[in-house]
Amino acid sequence: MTTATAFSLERRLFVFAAPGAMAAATIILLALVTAFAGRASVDKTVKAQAAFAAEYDAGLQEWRDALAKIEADGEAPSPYDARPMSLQLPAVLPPAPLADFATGAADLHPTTAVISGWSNPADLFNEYEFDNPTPLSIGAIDLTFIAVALMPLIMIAASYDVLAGDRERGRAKLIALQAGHVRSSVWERLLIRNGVIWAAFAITTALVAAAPTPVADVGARLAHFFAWLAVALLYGGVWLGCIALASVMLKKSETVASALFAAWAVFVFAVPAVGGALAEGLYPPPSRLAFLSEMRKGEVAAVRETAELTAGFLADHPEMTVSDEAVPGYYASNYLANREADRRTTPVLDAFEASRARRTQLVSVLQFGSPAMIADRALTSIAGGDLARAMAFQRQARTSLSDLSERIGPAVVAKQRISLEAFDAIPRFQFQDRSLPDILAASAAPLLYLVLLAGGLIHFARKRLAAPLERLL
Amino acid sequence: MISVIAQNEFRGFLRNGVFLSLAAAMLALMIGAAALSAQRMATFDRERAAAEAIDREVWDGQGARNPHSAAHFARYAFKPIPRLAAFDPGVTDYAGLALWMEAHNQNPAVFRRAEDLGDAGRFADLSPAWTLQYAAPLFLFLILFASFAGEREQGTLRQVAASGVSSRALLVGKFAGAGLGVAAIVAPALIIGLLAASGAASPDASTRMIGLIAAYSAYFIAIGGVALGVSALAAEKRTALIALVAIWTVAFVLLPRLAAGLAVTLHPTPDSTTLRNDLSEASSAYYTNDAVKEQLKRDTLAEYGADKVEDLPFNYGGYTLQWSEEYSHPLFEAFYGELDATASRQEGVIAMASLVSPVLALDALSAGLSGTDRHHHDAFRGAAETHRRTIVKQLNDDLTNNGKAPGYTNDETLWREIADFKHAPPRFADLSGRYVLNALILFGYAVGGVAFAAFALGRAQEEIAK
Amino acid sequence: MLKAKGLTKTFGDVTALDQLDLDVAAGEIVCLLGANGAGKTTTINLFLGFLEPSAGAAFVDGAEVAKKPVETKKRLAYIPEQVALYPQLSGAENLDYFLRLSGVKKSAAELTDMLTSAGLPADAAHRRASSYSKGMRQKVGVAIALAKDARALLLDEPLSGLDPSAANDLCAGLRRLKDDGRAILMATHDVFRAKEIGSRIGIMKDGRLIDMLDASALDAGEIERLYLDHMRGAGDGPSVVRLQGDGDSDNEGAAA
Repeated sequence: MTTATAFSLERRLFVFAAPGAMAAATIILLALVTAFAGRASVDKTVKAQAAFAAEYDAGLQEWRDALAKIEADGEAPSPYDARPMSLQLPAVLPPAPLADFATGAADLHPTTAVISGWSNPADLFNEYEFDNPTPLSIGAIDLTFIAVALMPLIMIAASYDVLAGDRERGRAKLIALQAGHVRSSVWERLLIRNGVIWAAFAITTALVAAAPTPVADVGARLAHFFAWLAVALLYGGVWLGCIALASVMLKKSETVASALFAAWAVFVFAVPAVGGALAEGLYPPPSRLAFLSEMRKGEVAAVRETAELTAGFLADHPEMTVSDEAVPGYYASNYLANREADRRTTPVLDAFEASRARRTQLVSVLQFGSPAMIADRALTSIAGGDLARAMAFQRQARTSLSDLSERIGPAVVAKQRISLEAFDAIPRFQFQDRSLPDILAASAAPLLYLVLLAGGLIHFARKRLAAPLERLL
Repeated sequence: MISVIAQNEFRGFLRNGVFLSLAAAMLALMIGAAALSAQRMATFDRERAAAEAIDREVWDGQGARNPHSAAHFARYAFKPIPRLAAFDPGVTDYAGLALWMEAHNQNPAVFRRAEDLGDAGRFADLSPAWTLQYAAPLFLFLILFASFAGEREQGTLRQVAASGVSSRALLVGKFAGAGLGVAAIVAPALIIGLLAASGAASPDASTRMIGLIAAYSAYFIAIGGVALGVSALAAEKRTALIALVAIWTVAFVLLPRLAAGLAVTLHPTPDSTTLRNDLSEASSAYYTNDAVKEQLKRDTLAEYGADKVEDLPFNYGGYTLQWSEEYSHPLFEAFYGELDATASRQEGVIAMASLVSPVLALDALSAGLSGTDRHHHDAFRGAAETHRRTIVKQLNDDLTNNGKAPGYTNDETLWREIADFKHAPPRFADLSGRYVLNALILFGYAVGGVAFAAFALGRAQEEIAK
Repeated sequence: MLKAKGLTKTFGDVTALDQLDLDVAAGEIVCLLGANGAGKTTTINLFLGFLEPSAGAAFVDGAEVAKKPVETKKRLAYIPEQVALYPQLSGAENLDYFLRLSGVKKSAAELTDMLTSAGLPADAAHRRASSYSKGMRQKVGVAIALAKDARALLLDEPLSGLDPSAANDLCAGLRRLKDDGRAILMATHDVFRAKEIGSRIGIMKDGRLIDMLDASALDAGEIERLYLDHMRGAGDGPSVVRLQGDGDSDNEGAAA
């Protein structure tokens, strides 16, 4: 049978008929609604971040102008002017090039921070937990969710009875007699139906990706999109293999549908739920409350021991001498308290990182039990909604804080100012995002597994389709 | 007659391999979820008790300090997690667990557990309630889709109808049989889940448990009605199966997320950066308003007949600190009031969606009954704010009344007078007004489900008669 | 044209067809009579290549079915008890699709002609098949068989459930095909129709062809008597067995 023959049937049964039109309309509508919501969220973030950065940049300019004036005049109008502790550097995690394609962990983690001597690594990110927990707990819908969870269901609904339906109605024998086999009848019809479904999805998402966006440059966005789409199509290929295999292995259409739906429930819900629970059970995150306790113990200890800490700090920095300026002592004591809190909480933060790394490692292994999990993780990370990106921002912001702390520490404790030159040398925070090849390389093994799985399933299904008719009819 | 039909139905389940394997999977999922929840609860309790003890210790041991400096250091309120959270964690993982009760500022609760997890994606959350809300309906659909459609295909439905059984008896019998089959799985699951959550400290735990059992019963009656109705209307088993799976996908998977997404798109919470600025403005409202500061000074001096603040019989600095606190209170109330209003509008969208997605109605009601929804979280936030105001006032009053001399400090004596934060979650009866709509919707679903099944069976019998 | 040599099919321990030797020549209709489970549908499925023989071989026009499954199918047409069509498609569209499958492309007018010459009313040819009666579907089946220009026809209970007029139409059509030189093998329960159109009548029991009658030499009553004698011959009535993978008609009524 030629593809044209299969199409002659499918255009009447599916492509230009109610089922195909409904499937395509559902996909297009859902994708557009979802993309609109994703876009609204990204726009909101971009706008707020721009205002945030502008506000702190203006503050920094004001601070610099004050310092320049002090350096020029040789005296400060107020002891509070241009103090290094008043430096506030904005740190922003900009939305990823394809942020509207996957929410992932992005709705839970902070995207801005103020790098300042008043903060310690443990309380660098605060006051961002305002979102209503009710919708957060229900979960977001995004294009990645549609690709991972809904597309397979639409594929199953569209194709579960391609062979079983013909078999149950008795048409399969007539087809086998006319064509000599049922191989291409099944295979090409599956390709046409699922091709229509994925074409509707690919075209809609491509339009969304190509639409003007405030995020990144168009080139980067399109590159990320093509990678995203390729992974989504690969995942679709796995499901095509599953559907083809179930169609040839199982006789009744309700059995085919049940088996495929059960596989969907296992891959999309059961494995991630059990995997997440297993990871949490085996490697529970350390207590946030214990983390808090350590931070507060550090702060109290620092306040109580300011004199000793000051002496100790100055012993490390003999070049600094204590100024006589009447600056509030709390600049220095708070700085030192933060350093102490930093010292005390570093092991807890490290423990968080270590436990997260172990959980991530376990989940990386468990994902091989669910193509949906692999696809979700890969698509989310290409879109930039993954936990790793949020964590990278937090790490980089902490490093930036540590750098600022090092730069201003001696002057703060000595109750002095830093020089204009030293200020200008302070690097501004710029989030170092991973490159697309890096992201893909990190997912290489699971993606290769998806390729093999899709290839293997399709190969077995086609082999089985070529089996004697006795086993197929 | 009814008992014969019910027995036959139940016997069919027991001889059905698909039912037995699904039942085993469901039970395993439920036991796993209950075990995990119990483990989580134990961890919550342990961590909270330890943190509370350390907070007291650190607070008392902060040494001699200016009381206002201590008010800045402040204390933390740790959210008590109700035992029923082991059954339904609700928003527990997405709302903060600790709240810093510092001077000048009403902070949001911090440390959302979800931030520390999330490696496996957020498609599913293994808890007894999740299992019952999402997995159990699917289980019901998969075991009930053939109830009538299968009999119709086999021809036995015609035979049963020919034997003079009324459609009412047939429906009740099928319902009872399905109920037995489902109860055999869901009831132990529900009991396991509730047992994992028992040992309750909550004073109205029994009310809440009865409410939960009623809510879930209504839910399963509705689901059973839909399953039997669709099965009765469908000409073939496969049509029934596909229709029910489509209903599950749309109503249980797609709509909840779509509704949640739509809710935050239609009624967006302002960005956290904007909110942080607004909060900061509320917090410093007094200090950034020179006119108010001047007015206060004038009024205070006039009240005490003094010419300058140093002549006042108390520390004016401490007095203004307390005054600034109280000046900010309505601003905080407005800030959080607006956030709450946005949240309510968002939940309004979700409630509307629950008209087509029963799981959303149950989700809201179940979390409310378990004491783990936003309203209970807000009650914690409110209690913490009340306690913050008390603490800060105690410390500011000490400074005002005793801190006339420069360099004034107080010590552990005062710190010990500051009470620990204690929060008794609200009684369900006090919040029940918020759940009436969801309860009515759920009840409507139960009635509608049974009516639909009766209508469908009536039609099926008419067709057989034709 | 159709030939079976020692054709045997077993399903596990059950022998559905046992050492069948059969020849159906061009221009001949051979009817197979037998109870459910006698092996009639198994025989047809073996000729169609839908089942693989456990022993022996089936030949179509000299080609062995098992060795040349595609080639032999090209020379065969098949009309089952229920001709299954795509209900969303019209009769003409169904015919077009099934012909395309065998590599035949016909114009719309030709398709309509074929359907009308198979007895389908012209106005029905472009109506959806979901509105067709069983007889109309059978006529589309005949049209497919005719259009394919097959050398041999295999029919599995094609008359079952047809009203007398539709059955007469089909029988007339079959006679025309026979006269045209086609070899026809038909499985049926209907002794009288078998006598009416058959050249020879084979009686099958328990997977074996136990008798072959010359239809022209006997009247319907004699054929029926012989058939019943054969059925009673074993003394314990027809053997009813459940055969895995066997055709529907053989499975019906399976109990033991």
